[in-house]
Amino acid sequence: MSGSRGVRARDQRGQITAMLVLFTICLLLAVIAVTDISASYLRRQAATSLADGAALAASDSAAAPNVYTGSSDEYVVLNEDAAGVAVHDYLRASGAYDAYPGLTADVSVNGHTVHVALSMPYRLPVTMPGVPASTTIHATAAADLPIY
Amino acid sequence: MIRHRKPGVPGPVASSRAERGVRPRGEWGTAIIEVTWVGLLLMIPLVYVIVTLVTVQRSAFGATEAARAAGRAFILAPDPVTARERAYEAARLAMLDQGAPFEPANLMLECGPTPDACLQPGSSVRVRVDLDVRLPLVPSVFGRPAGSIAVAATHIEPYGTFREGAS
Repeated sequence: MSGSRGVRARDQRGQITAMLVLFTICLLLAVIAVTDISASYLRRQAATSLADGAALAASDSAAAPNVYTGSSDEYVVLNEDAAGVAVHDYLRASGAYDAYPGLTADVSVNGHTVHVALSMPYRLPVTMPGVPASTTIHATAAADLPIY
Repeated sequence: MIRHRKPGVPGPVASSRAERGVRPRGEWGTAIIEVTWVGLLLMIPLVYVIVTLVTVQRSAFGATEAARAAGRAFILAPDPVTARERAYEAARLAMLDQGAPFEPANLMLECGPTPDACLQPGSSVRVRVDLDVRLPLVPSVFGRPAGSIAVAATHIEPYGTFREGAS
């Protein structure tokens, strides 16, 4: 009787502490995951804002050669090369290339709409062993130039 | 049949603690103490970190949205004075969505390529939102928060070349 009682007392000693520590570690991992995901979302939001401005700048600059001559329907025909140059000028002027190292822009014109797709590597704020330390953020925007 | 006995006097039937349902003396109250102290020591810093992260990221989200909304509101206004008022109002509303305060000093508007080229064809406006996010539960020292984190967002909005200039 006394032997079995002694074993049970030793086994139960400190179990609550172990459970609490384990629970805290799980919670900490969840916090790290949420932090990384929300930080990535914030970066994507900033990239979307950047793509938005770049698309507007591209639609404006790319329309320059055709605004008085090459109009079709109710929109100005956009030049793809000029749009690409305008996007890079915008990103350079806004300091995006310095703020977001590795930033790349893909510019295309489909009909009368210019599409800007930005992608940039993003290093996660909190890293964990076994989990990739960085991810890639993508953002797209489109703009056109209607004639009123 | 229930037998009554005086406390402290060993009864003839239940001779051991285990049989009587009494836990060993070493476990008495341990769980409560561990939950209280270990739980407090681990949970309070963790909860504070979570609250701080949420506060800062909420402000960062609001700052980016505020800069973008202010830029859009600025270039759609009929004149520069109205543009600044609308830009501030748009930024204030964007921050209000996040439950964060916003003051005119948090917003900076700069027209390009020259400062007086606001709402002119070919111009653009650079919007910068600067916030000092106060850390939760940190008291003020001489009227200013003792601990804060700086959050900033910048957005450039082109006015457009083929538009009529504002008066």
